[in-house]
Amino acid sequence: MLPAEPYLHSSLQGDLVAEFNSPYGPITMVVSGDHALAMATVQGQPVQSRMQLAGAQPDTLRAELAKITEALRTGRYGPLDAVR
Amino acid sequence: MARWTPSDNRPVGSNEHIGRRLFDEPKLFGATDQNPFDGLDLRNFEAGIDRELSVDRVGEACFNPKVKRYLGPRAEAAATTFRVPRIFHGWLTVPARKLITPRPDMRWTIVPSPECGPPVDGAVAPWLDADMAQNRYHAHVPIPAGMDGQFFAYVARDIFKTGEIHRAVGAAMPAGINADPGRGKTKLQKWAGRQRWLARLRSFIWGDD
Repeated sequence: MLPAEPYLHSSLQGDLVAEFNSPYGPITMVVSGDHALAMATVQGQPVQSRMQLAGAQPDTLRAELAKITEALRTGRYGPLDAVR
Repeated sequence: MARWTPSDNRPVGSNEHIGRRLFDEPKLFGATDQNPFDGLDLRNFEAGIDRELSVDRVGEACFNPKVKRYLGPRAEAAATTFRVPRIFHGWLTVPARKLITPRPDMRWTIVPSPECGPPVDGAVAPWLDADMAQNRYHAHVPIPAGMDGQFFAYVARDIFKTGEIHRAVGAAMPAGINADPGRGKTKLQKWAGRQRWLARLRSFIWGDD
């Protein structure tokens, strides 16, 4: 689902940051205590997808993540939150 | 000629250049042998707990060399104030307008906030070039209410990576920073970039999406 091996580091707030390089552009994921944030730049627009981790089913998370990887691949980001 | 100095609290002009300092960032403990990341470290663009991204006003229309000479020692002094001292690599600079309107539907503000250092005899300290606690060119970008701090850092990085690199004297930039953004891209990336640009041009001319 996620391309290649990530580059891992921690954010200043102590969250886990994973940076992925893909042929379609980089994806950055930030994993905090109860949520994860996936961010990418699709057609010049930064987009994010926020996922609640607590109590979430793996399939739901996978589907959420697929939205952003698919957006990167196809260049369309309709359902994602582009500007919050 | 005197060094360019913005009047205190004068609003930031849209053509003014804004710089973000780059420091080396510590590697994840236990994972120091990871493959190097070909990009800018997100931590360089993270705001502190005050939700403000510190920047330098570096010139009216470009990085003013005299301002660079003023800011350089301050940035190097700042590098030693971290819990673990770091190396100051230099700045990435962009015109203020790119930060003011990062995207057509986003608007950020750049607030001038010159740092005059601790008071002297109970009064505001006079501006002295030798006082490393002062920075006449300091400004900050508050994270808009409701915006996630990490997403803000991501967008800020996206903006600054289109900017110009100004190395600190004698410093090498981290591996992820390329002096020429076009250099180092694969043919596929260059081709994809051109296609995206053409698609946007086509969409602009014909109004389709």
